[in-house]
Amino acid sequence: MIYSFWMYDRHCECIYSRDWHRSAAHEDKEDLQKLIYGSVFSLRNITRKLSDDDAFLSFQTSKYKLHFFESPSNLKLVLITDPMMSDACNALRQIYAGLYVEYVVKNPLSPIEHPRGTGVDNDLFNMGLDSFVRSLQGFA
Amino acid sequence: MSKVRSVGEEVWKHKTDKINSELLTLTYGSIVAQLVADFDHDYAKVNKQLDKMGYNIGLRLIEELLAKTGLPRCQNFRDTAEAVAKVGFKMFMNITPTISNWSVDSKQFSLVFTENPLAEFVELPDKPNARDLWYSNIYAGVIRGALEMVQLQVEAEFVSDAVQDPSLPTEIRVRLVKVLEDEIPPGED
Amino acid sequence: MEVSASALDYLLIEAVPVARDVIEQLGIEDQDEAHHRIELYGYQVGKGLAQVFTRSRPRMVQQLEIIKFVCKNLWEVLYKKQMDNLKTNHRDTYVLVDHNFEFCRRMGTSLPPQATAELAYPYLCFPAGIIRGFLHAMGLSSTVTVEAPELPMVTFNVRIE
Repeated sequence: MIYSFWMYDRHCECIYSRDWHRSAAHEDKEDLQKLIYGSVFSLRNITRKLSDDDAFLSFQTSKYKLHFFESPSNLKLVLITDPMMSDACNALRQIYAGLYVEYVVKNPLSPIEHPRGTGVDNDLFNMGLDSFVRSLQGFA
Repeated sequence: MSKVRSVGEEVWKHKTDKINSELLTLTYGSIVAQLVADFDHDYAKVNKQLDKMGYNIGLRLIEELLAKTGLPRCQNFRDTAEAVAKVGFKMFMNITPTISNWSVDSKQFSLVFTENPLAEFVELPDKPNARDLWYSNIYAGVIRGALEMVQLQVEAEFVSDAVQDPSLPTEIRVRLVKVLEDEIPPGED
Repeated sequence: MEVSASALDYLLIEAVPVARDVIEQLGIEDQDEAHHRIELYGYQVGKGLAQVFTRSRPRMVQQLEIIKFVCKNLWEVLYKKQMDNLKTNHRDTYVLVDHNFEFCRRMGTSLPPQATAELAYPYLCFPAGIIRGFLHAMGLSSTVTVEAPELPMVTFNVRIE
């Protein structure tokens, strides 16, 4: 089951979040996005310290699994799923290449900087993401 | 064939929608001509505007490059030069400038172009200071913007342009100013 | 020779900010001046394309024939498809409709259609200019206006003078 998707820009700001099958426990989105970023940031640093050219792909607890992809341009994509879900880094890559590049980077009406408070918000990206995530095995 | 060159070729062949270069040449030419008219042949202003335009393009274009190639961050500036010439210019402009004139500290290199789709059949305006115009200055901005997004602050400048003087090659000098630190979230220092 | 379609995509993304930036530097406040410049970029492209096209073709003289050429051949080169609909009053007015304008296929926003159309308008001045430039090079003086109350459907209104 796929719970949520988060995107962070090079300025460590959350520029997108979306959830499906929302658990009632996660009420405060603002707090949650910071927590997610914090854990991602720490794990990424640990991984790099242990081995120069390595990257962390995912971590899991008994309740959920966090999948991570970071572009060389410091865009970070996070997918949160149930612990049984197989590695979703490829799916995150596809979101980057097929949705972010298409509907944000190559969209004349979309800015590429999202200063505090604003974020990625456009119908084509939203619909594309929703459609893609729902098509992934293990979504429901 | 080097790995990087084959990445560029691969993406050009299989992952790129192509158009006739005349469309690009005409569009770019009309923008430059309008800038020259608007700035009343103040070529310093035109050069600056083309550089700015290129910078904004570079900020975007790098994401497509990274997404389509899956290339990681380069380990050193020499690898960066390879990526710029053999992947960047290849996948977007279908040209592969040569890399030359490395400085001793490996922080500066030149890109030398034998062909340039932007400037095909272009003639400079018939004005005495027309040689001040770097017709393809948008490239300098693109390089600067794209590399900034992978944490490299560079300066890129035209050294010579075949449009101005056909006896010279078209050459851009790229200089590494510094490697930028990744931003960290507040409270993490 | 070929280049990537992306190269032109990025150039056109920046064409609007450039026009706006220039008029700001010139101290002009009227945004129509930016639209005018973008239309002129298109106009030059249309003129140039006409020269390319008519090199190896017999000259077209009839208005309708030329407009149909725009709808079929020119549009195919530019946007990989033909115009979907052409209406005319058989005198001097033509309405060209593209139901799924390729140039707008990535123009998503979080706004209602009318507001999106307003944001898209400056960009649409470019293809409008292409049409006007092409027609002019073929001997037809025209005004071309563009409207898109609901993207990606775009309508070009051509009036021959």
